[in-house]
Amino acid sequence: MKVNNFKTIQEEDERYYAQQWQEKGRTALQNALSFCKLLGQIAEVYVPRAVEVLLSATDAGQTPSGRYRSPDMPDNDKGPGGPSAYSDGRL
Amino acid sequence: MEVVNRYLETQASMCFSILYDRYAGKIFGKCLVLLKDEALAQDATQEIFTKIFLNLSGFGEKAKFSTWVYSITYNFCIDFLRRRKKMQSLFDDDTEVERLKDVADDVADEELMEMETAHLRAVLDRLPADDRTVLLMKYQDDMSIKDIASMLDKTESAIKMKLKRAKEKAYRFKQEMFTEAVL
Repeated sequence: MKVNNFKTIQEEDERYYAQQWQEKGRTALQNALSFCKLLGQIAEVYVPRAVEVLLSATDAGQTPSGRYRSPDMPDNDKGPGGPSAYSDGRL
Repeated sequence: MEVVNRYLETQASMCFSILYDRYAGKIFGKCLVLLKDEALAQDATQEIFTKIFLNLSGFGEKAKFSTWVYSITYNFCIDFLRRRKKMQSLFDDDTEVERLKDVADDVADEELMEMETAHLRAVLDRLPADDRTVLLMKYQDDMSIKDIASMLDKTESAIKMKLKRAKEKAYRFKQEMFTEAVL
């Protein structure tokens, strides 16, 4: 069989890693991935809601056509009996 | 590949463990040779694994899974070393005058592969990082010239030349460090 000490070096390093770091590394990685997963879940749940809230907040102060107007609310252009004298240009 | 798919479907910790056990030591070994610092290699292994698991769904199955994992590993180490400005001209065609004239012919692969492990480690340690990288890709991972070229975004002829020079340098270092000491 062909000797390849590049692979021997790799095997030595793998054995060393298994003895010294493997368990610590696994735990740290699992914690990091759990944290990423949690962040992902938070983003998944809250980001769409946050966007909705932002959209509704910006909608509230937008164009007159989109704005709710109560039937009892007085029209600025008209008096109780119709257009005011001011708006007609008579005064 | 089956393990990767099962992990993506179920996120099962058993699949995570299988992938981790299979590749962590190999990734650590490469980082250790490239970064030359155990603590850095350990941190790099963690970061590379985080990248791998977060991007697992993006693995396209065009290449072997191991090739994909190693490409992330090499790119991480190359970027890291670049950031540290230890090798600004990494994989650039440098104009460094190299003392290679005393190496008449191409160095045979066996000359490197059969070098004692302690000597090989010392030689790799002395080589510039770009030379270490191509030698590991070629002799440790059995990557083809084409794959190395595509991974490093270089032409195949550039990689052949890089590899030839790296082998020559390694051979020269071995002679300087070990043959002369014996005489």
